[in-house]
Amino acid sequence: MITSTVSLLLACAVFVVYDYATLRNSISNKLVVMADTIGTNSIISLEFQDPGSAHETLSALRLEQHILTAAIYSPNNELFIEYKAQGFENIHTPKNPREDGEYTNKTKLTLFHPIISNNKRVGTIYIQYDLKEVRKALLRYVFIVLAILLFSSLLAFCLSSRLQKAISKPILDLAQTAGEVSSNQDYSIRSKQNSHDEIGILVDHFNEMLDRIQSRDMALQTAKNSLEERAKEKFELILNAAGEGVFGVDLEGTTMFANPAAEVMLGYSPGELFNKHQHQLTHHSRADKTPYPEDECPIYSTFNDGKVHHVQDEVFWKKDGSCFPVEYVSNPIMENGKLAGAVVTFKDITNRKQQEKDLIGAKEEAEKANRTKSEFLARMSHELRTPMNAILGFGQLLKLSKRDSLSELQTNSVDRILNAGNHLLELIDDVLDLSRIEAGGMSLSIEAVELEPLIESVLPLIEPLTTEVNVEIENNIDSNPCVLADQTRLKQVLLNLVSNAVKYNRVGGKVTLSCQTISTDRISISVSDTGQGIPAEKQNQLFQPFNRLGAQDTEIEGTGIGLTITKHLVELMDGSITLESTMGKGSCFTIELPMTKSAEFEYPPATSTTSVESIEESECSVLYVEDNLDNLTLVEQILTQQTNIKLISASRAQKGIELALAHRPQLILMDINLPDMSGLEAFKRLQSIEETQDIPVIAVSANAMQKDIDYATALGFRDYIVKPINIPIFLNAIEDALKRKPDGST
Amino acid sequence: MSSVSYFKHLINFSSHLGNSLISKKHTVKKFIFLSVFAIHIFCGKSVLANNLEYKIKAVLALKIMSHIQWSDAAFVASNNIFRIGVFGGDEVLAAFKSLEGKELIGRKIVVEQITDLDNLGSFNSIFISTYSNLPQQEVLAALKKSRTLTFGETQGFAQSGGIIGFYKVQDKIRFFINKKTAEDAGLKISAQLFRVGKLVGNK
Repeated sequence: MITSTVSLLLACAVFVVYDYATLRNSISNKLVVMADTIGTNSIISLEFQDPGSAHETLSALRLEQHILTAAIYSPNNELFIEYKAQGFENIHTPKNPREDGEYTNKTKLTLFHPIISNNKRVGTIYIQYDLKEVRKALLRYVFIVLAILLFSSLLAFCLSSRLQKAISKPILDLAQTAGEVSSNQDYSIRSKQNSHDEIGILVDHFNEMLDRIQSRDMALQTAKNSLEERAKEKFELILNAAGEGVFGVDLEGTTMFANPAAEVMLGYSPGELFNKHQHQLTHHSRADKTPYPEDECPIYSTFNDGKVHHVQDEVFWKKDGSCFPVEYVSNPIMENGKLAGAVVTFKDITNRKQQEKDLIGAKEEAEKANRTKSEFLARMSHELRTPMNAILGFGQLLKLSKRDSLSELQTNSVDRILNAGNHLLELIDDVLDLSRIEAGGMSLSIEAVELEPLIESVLPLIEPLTTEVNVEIENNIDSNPCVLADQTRLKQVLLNLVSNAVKYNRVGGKVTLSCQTISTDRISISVSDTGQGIPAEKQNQLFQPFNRLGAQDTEIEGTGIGLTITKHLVELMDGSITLESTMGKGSCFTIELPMTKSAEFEYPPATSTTSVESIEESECSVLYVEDNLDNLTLVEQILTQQTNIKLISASRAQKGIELALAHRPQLILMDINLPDMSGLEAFKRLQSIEETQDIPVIAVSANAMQKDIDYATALGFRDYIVKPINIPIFLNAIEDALKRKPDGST
Repeated sequence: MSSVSYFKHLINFSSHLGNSLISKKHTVKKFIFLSVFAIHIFCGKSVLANNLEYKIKAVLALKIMSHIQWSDAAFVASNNIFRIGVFGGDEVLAAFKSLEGKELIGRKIVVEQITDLDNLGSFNSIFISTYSNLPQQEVLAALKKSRTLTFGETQGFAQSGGIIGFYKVQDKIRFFINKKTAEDAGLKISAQLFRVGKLVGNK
């Protein structure tokens, strides 16, 4: 009703506005036509400057009662003639015309219009129109419209009231019933049927529909209950059958359900956990019995963040007060999109924990055994090298002796002692290397190594052997590729391969070195000889330790583990070694290694092991701290031949420090394994004393492990001489230390 | 007021002033000077006024002529130019000469002074001033059956056979139109012109 009234009102308003606009436009058009007519009739008056005739023309406007004033202006905009309607003589006429166009105020419409003759403006006409009557007419129109509107609204109201009783009310009753059914979900409500017309039929059908929905709803509810019952049964079956403990808690932490496994594991009788506060009952403390606050519990975190929490290292407490380690998963329970609690699945991990404990024990045992093995190897190395030092040292002294020349037989004997000793030393080194490799204790420093200078540093070391057996070495490696390898160990590998190729060659034979790029990142280095070759059936035994493939019966010296070590080293450097051998023609060993672009490494020149130069300097004192008498005697005899050196000795570290303070020697030779304190500690003390801190100290030790050498060098020892002493190297080290100033400059 | 009447008034005024001065025994020299001065003042004003009036009449005549429709036959005798004849003195001629050179209905205007009645029909328009050397009625009589538009300034000119007769109202020059005479002369006068001119008939 209101909508209709508003619509009608709006429509009437539109009509009124439209009519007013139309009327206003028609007045405007009428005024323009009038102005044109008067203008045309006034042209001659303006031409002949005859206001009288113009006034006659204007006076014609008295027939138009709404025209209040009118005037004609000359071309120079002066008032030519004016007209005022009867009763409006007091209205003021503008002295000059305004710009052409219409001007409207509340009650008047004013027009200024040009008078055109022969396309030339000859004047302006001014007409003022009274809009009062128009407005009155408009008001009358509005009043009539409102009256009609009021009448039609009243009529509509009466009609709708009658219709509402007959049609709308039953429909509204029906809608209300539908609303109640919808909001209460109650399908037992029925709409009342008051008539047997169309609406009565509609109500009848509506009630029928409700009957059907009600019966379907009941069937659905029954099916749902049945399904829920079955689901519950299945759920309980699964829970009961589950080996893992499962319990559910609501947001308060109260146990909603727990399966038999959970009850058994926690030591409760069936149903005993139900409605109990889970955290207070089973999760109140940590393994060390310190309290476990609820807000730190991952199960409670699930309530807050709705995420799954997996915990692997906690304990649950049993009813009897004992606890057991558990792994559990806390999953959020979502009900209608909201968190309703958490379901916790847990298992007793006592056995796993025990296994882990056993494993840790076994690992510790293994590590301990490994450490023991390493210590044994280090001690073995030391213990073997100490007597070897005396054997080889005195042997070298005998061979180098100038004053007391030996007989040929004696010389041969000394050579045999030295050869056997060196062989034994080599064997010791190789066995230690192999032990380290097999124990996984070999640490490599992989870097970019330039091949050419490395080969150049290896060849001089082989030179004495090649001369001895008259074998020529042909180095065909003319390029300088870089390989990724441990520089020291690669040198060891090449030395082993080339020395084998020389040793097992025929007299007057040839060893050829070559290399070939396999791909952008791999390179192969080949060492081939012209020996008798290795039978195919024996080639697979070649890399076995101590298997010399019958060479042990020849004069060729060897330990039988060089190639084993070589293979291990090459593989440790991400490489491989292969053999091609043809009986009667020779063998070719090829190693394949990773290749890189460039390297910056300066190789020290190969040290000559044959020349020994005397230390020809002014007399200087050297302090040797050594507890082993043989070693002390050996060094005394080596240095006795150096007339300019005065040797002071001490068998204890403390004594050595005192002597160093008293004599201020130019050099100290320091054993490491000393009875009262280690040589390393003694060195530290010497460094802390102002008077001795600048004296160079050379370590002389049977500790040949690389880590020992690295540690001593890092500590500040000038040099590290490994026993058995190689006399030329030893003398060179002493000479070098004596030549250098304390700051390290020469 | 015409220049003749101005002149008559001036003579009367001068003799009245002269008598009063003689009676007061002033010198003749002074009298002569004052007389010459008065003549100069009044006659000069009269000439100037006449000159302006005729110029206005000439302009009005031109405007009126532009509202009249001539037949082409009217220009056969005038050699296809617009000939305006003037009966009157030099000042009248001079005022109308200001129209010469202008164009009317596509023809150049030529103004000529007329002193006799010969060949009057060749003029398309004739202005008969009060200074005409020939009587007005004779001229009008000579123009009967011609296609000439006649202008005059004497009282009753339009009623007595002329077509357009100028007259003065409150120092403004207006005109009478004799529609019948114009139609007799084969001239069509625009209805607009009747709004500004007064329509008269023959006496």
